Amino acid sequence: MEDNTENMNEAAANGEFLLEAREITKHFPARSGLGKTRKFISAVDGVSFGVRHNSVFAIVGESGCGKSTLARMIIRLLKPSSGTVLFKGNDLLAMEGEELLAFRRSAQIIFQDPFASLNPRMRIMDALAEPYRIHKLAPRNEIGARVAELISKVGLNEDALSKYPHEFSGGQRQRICIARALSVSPELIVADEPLSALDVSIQAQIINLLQDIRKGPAISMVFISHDLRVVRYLSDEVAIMYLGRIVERGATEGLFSDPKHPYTEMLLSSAPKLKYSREESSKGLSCRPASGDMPGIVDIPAGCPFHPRCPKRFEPCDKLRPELKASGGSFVACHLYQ
Amino acid sequence: MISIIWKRVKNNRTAVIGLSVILAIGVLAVGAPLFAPYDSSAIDVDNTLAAPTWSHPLGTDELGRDILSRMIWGGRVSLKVGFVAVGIAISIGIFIGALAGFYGGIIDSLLMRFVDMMLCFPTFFLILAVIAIVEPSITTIMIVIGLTSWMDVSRLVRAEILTLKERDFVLAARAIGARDFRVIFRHILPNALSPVFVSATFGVAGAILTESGLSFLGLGVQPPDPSWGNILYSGKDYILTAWWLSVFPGLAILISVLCYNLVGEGLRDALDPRLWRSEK
Repeated sequence: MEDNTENMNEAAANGEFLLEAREITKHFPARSGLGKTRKFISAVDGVSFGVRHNSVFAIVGESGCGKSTLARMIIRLLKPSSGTVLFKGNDLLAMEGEELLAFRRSAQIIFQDPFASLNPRMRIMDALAEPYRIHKLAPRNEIGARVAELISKVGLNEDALSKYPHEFSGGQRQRICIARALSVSPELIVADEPLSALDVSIQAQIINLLQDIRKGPAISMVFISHDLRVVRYLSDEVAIMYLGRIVERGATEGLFSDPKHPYTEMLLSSAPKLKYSREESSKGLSCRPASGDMPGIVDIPAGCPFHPRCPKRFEPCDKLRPELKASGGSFVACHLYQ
Repeated sequence: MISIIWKRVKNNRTAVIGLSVILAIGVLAVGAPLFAPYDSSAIDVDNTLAAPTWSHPLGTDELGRDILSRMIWGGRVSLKVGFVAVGIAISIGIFIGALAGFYGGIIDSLLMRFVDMMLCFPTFFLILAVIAIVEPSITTIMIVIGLTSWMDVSRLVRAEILTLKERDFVLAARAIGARDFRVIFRHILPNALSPVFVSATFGVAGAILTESGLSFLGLGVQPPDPSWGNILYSGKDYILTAWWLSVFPGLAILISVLCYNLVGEGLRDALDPRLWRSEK
């Protein structure tokens, strides 16, 4: 942990990070039936990472590992139970009034379900004009033109503007959501599984759109997904999450070519590929489904949370929780590398 | 948006029938001085308790007053009571429900316990008690019905808001920097109101029934002013000899309540966006 924070502090001091999360934790109270015995579910537990300027930081994990909770916390839609989030070095949680409004202009979010993320009673025109009105980004009579420009940027026609959300397909709605996020020209976009609700053919279009955005003016992205191929294609850095904690974090290429944590290995080998190299086939490294289910988040196993499923577990795994430590170019929370 | 709703209501035959009847009753009531053949309190001593004839299509009462005319004037009272009482009820209901649902926590608990308390009173007897203290008149009846029938609306609105405020589009609005006021009025309430409109339509029917009930007990609209309830009341003494005195106002209450309920159901279906296809 020490190496990890040292490295982060250094990077933060250099102003390398646009957004930085430090040890953020989110507990949700879980009441059992009528009894007043209060339990807490930790959806996110002591997560730290930094998003560099003009780069894409991917967060990968199975369903229910706390990815979406994390996404909502770094954009201040949800308050962490503890820990801090820094945006350009300023404490996000302490922001109020004008400062918070400025943050809203710089950071935007794209949600997973495009059918739920547009107001069904608002025409697209009004939905897209809203950010301009709130932040007074354009004079009243220019808003129409700006909105038209915006909608063509995401590949939709201007006649889409007078329609209601229910008249669009999932892919089109996701484009509209992206347009809304782009309206304020943000420096950071948090994309919370923007592809998982879409058909594969449409996923490709949205990936290309995100890729275009990335190449555009200075913008960073937190890309949350469970699709490893897309993550490899889009991101510069990756964090692998398991049960609310980061188990491995590092540069995308390094992590994909040389996965360290057994969970990362399992995820990578469970992703189907079209072609396997001769070496992989001879080793029997073809697609293997991930074994076992993720334990419920209510009863997180003692020690390393992954140990019940881990093929490489040994002595300390069910007793001691491994900390995230530097190993090679990345950070791993596993006793094999302590 | 309105055109879509109208199209959906239009496709629902029973709702259209209900709406037509409601409109017809509405026109008759609003234009009462034009449509009523006689003055509502004009007495015809030669024709007391006369059966329906061409000159008195629905007969006359024990004082020789024309039932048709009295019913047309009485329709005014029913509509007025229905709409004003429901207006009062949904205003209070939306306000309290929105406060409770949006702010949650202790505000929610306090307001909802208050609602539970209000629901514990048998409404009709509460109204009776109030009317016994305050002098009965159309105005007091409207206000009392309004003040005792907002609880369902507030529960509906609260429930809608509780689910809506966690929805992604509301979060997106917050992420874009919208303040509470904008989030409530632009994003949450427009989506929370369709069940309220539906419940309001049913509410009008309920208010008409309550008013008729009160007038029937002699605690509502006071004679000589006619209302469907007090015509029915005065008819009860002659029900074996002059059936028209009870049957026609009874039918009027039945039909108008039924029609409001039909329209309410039609609206409920039409306002559900989940049932919308991309029809235009």
